[in-house]
Amino acid sequence: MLVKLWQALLSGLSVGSVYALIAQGYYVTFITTGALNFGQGDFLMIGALFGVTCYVTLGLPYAIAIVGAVALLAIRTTLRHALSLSWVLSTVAVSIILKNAAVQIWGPEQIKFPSPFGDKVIHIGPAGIFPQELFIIFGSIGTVLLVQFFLKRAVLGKALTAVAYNRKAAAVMGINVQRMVVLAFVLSSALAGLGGVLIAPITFAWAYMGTVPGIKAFAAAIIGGLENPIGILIGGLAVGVLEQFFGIINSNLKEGITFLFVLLILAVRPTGLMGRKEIEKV
Amino acid sequence: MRARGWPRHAACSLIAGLGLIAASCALAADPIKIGFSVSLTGGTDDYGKAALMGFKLALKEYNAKGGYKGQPVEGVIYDDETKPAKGVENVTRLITRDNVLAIVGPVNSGVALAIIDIAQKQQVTLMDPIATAEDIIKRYAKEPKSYIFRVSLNDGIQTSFMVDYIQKKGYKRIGLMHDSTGWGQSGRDTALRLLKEANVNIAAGPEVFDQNDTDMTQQLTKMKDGNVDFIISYSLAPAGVQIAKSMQKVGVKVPWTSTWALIAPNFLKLGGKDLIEGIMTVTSYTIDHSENAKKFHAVVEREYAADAGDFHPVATAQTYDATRLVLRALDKVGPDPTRLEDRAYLKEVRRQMRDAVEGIDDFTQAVTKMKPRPFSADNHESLGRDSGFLAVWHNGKLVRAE
Amino acid sequence: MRLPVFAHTAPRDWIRFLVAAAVVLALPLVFHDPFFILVLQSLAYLFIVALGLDILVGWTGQISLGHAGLYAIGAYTSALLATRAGWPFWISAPIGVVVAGVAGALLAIPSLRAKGPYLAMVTLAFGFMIEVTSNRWQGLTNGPMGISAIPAPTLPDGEEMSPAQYFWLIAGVALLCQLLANNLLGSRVGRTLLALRGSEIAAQSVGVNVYRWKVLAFVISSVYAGLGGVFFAHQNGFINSDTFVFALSVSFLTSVLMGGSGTLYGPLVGSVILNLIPTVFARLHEYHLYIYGGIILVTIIFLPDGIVGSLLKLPVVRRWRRPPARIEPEPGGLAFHQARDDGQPVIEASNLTRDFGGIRALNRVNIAVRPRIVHGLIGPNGSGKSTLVNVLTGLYPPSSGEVRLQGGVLGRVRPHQMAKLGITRTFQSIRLFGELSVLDHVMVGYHLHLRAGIWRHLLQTTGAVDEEQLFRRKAMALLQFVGIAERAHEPAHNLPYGQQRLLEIARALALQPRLLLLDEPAAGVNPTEMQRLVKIIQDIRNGGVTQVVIEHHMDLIMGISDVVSVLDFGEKIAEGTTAEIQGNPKVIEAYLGTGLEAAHA
Repeated sequence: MLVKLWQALLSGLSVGSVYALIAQGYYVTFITTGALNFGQGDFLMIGALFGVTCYVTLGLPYAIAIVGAVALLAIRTTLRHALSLSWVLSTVAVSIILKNAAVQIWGPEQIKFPSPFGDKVIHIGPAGIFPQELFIIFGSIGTVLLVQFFLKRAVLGKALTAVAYNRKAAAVMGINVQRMVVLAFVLSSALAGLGGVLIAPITFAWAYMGTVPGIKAFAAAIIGGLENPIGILIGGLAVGVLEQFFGIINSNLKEGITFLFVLLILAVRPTGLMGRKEIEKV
Repeated sequence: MRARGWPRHAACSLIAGLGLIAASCALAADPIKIGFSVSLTGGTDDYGKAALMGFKLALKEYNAKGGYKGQPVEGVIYDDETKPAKGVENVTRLITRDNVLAIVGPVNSGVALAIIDIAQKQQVTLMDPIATAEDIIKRYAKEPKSYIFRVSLNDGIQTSFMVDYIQKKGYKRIGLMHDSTGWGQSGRDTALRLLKEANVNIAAGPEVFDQNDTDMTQQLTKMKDGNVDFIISYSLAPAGVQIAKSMQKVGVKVPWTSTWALIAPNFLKLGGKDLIEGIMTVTSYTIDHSENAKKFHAVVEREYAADAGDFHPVATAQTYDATRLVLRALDKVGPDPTRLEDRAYLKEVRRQMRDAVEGIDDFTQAVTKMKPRPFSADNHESLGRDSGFLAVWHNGKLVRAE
Repeated sequence: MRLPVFAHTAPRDWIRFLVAAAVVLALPLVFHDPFFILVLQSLAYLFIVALGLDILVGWTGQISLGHAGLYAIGAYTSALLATRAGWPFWISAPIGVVVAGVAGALLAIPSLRAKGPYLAMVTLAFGFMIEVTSNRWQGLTNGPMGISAIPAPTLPDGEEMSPAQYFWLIAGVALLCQLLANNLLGSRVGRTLLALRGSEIAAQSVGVNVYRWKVLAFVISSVYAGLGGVFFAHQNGFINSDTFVFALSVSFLTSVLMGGSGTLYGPLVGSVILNLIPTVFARLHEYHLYIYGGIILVTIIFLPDGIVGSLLKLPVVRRWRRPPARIEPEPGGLAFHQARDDGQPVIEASNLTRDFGGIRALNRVNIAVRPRIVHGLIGPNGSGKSTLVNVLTGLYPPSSGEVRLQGGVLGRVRPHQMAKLGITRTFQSIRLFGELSVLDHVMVGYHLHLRAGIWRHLLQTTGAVDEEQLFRRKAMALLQFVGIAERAHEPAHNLPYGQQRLLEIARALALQPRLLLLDEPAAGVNPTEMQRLVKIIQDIRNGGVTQVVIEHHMDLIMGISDVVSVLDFGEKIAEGTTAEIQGNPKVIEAYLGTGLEAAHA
């Protein structure tokens, strides 16, 4: 039994850290615009596919593939506007178009993205994990911490956070709010794209790969509390591990358990486990 | 890589589309139409696209030889988006609006189960080139006149090869896994039934996984706990690769097999020949098993050179044969195209098409392993136990499993 | 001659309805091809789902990404009863609808405390749970193998309905649904939903039990979704777990947004167009999804309010709409609640303390407000004045201490319950109800006085209509009292700032409160408006209502107050007549000024 738990933990951390990475993207967009970019999943997919082209077809080193995917997404996200409920529609439309474009360019089938770290299983105790998965865990967590550092310490990052807290005040202080919003979308898309490049060697690069991770990452963000970045990180890891643990009991539970937890948690704490309690200034 | 193919592909589609429109405008009488509804988008779209290739190829050859009484036969193609409700809509449209004489499709078992009722009720031949759930044919098999035919190895037959092999090798503790789709679940039911009939013990499972799952370590750990010596898994190619990888993680080293899903070229591409070495699968066709097959393969390679190696050979071959059977029936019935506006006449022609398909006994140019007489009144499965066998991946190629 | 129900429906509306009914009747006769009828049936029941969803999304402002789950529950319930138990459609269908409604209630009750993205996630999770459950619980649903041979409804003579007849059934029900929705949304129900969408806090302050109304809206939308699901199951004859996926929920939402959320006919336009696109472009099997996505994208970019929403905003259309009839104010419509003078303070804060995390906003504050006076409350910024008002009106519970009403200790009371007890307020930062007209704002204020409930408004009884008319006249009287009657039919946010403040007061007075708390009513107001404000406050006092006024304008406060309490850093530092306060050194010290008003930001 212990072996099962240990394996579940390892596998869960690997999957969960990707959720955490994508969820950070939701966080960045949400705090600056109050809207959610449901297209995160599809940016993950574009990042992965573009990464394949870079790495496999063009033979560029992995590092450049990562940077390339991120840069591509940075360019692609200029057409967003977040107006009340329209964001749902626009993400839906863009999602459909992106998916179909991907199918048109790369075909509908899964494409292999060879791991730059090789395919030999690493055994940590009785459980096995691929080197790519380890890289995912450290890479994701590292990126999350980097983003947090950026938001809290770098001037640009602080400007972004300022817009999040109070747009009008930030504007008055000379911060270009519009540009910050775009930057937020770019950053969140870039995070998704990075996630795509990281996970593609494990999950294959594929036009429809983004939907489910996008949604699970959203669940992770909500469970953690949308405005708490550390909560989101923990939420992502927790979702990944939880799925694996429940898979031990009954593999049928694996799929639904995340959502059941979301329902239960939000029924008890409507702003997420570690979300800030809503105190509106009246 | 598809990347270099797509501009040409798009151009071809555009030209073909325009050509089709132009052709249909030029005809005086309504052309004979054959319907086609498969998943061109959605979960099983790779099979759908492969099927489309077979369908188009068959029509193209037929029309190149003069078509029907000198006129080209038109293929009416719809995408069912892997949604049963869309399949219903498409089939209804093909039958009542497009006045097709018969329908080839679908690819997805879930969609199939939705549309067979309509085809049967409306008395229009449905030729299933791919979907493998047993129930698709079983449901109306007892009817005096069933309109549903299949050119594909159904799950029952495929699983029987596996059971035969298990009995031959003397495996005693079987592990069972399957994905959560309709195909996976009906496969599980089939396996449970056949293993019970053969008195073979299931030591672990049935364990379920999502077709897009990337980690099957939990399910495989249970296989390991159960001390299995052989595993049957209903998994498509990507899941198959993930299973192989997870087996490495968990340290499970038993032989295992899936259905024909693992003959997809994508299985080799995604897994790499080392990873998939020794994995078994069911196949009904290898590229060189007959002269017809060799020629067919050469034609497909030429036609779809841009996607060379990316197509699914069996899916294309089965659909090619399925379509040609329908066209053969058309020739046999010999309806008058100018009278097809008359709905009563159309209905009568469709009934005759069914009888003609059932009665074909001179189809020697099959590229799949069907007999010259593929169907009969009590058998609408053209591919049976002698049309397939268990194969194993060896050095990147499929060979018979011994 | 007036009908006992549908009492407010004008002849024009009846004509529209009859024309629609005629169209519905004619459609399958014109397009008699079974395929077209199949498409028409689908359009009809998908429209029903969109209509219900719009009530939730457009009118109540709550998002749902899981309505496919409710649709599924309706479909499965009716399908199972019809196939496994052999019950006829006419019994299994209503049960399916009821079960969907109950499911919606069960989901809404624990979940609707969540807002915005959290609520989106809850509904999303629910939708996925249903999807996964229907796939895995094969004993019940048969998973992807599905339930087949679901019969079409049978007619009394035992024959199965023809596709055309089934279409008439669905479309007839859809027409009825639209009619009832029109009644509902055009009545106080729609007004209340829009109000709580505009500002939940303001709605609560006049007695709207926001939570209950949100649940109600959710249940209504669930019923509609279940109805759609039932019709779908019996149309297709086959349902399986592959149908009720997340993408379906998204397409429901998309059809609402495309048509224009919060309009009466947006769902019709949006759902018909969106669901027709795939059928129209089906022949282009390579590109149909691009076209689908493209049309949605184009709609958002050029018509962000949806198709109908954007049409309604066109100046051409606006001019075309009839201007609303003039309403005569009700004589004697201005009723003030006479506060009882039995020696007890109307409201009393006793050792009241309120903490926010590490900050103590109120520290053992004792204030008693006597009846029928104006009790001023002043203090520097951040002294806790608004917090005190918030605690007294039930927005926050006290951390310790008590609030007493007419001598009786109040437990934890929510704002809408406080309103029931006769206590309401205006807000420091104006909280209006979105696009509602000035008159409608006051009508929302009458929420607790309007007797006709949702069923009477659904059917538009004469009683309900008459009550509305009566209260509209009363509302005009109130608007006249505060001086903005001539702008009664304009959207409230068009009013200049000062008049918006007056509107808030009128809205609060509609409650007929015994205690009215005004939070900085003169902020940002010009001198003329200030004068009017003073007169209004005096008139209210003379009418018998007790008031507590927070202000920074010293002239105003000193001019109108009978008693003044002064807060500083959460503590009461002085209380007394205006003269006493003005001379109090502690007060002067707190302000660092004498009688000079602190300019309000």
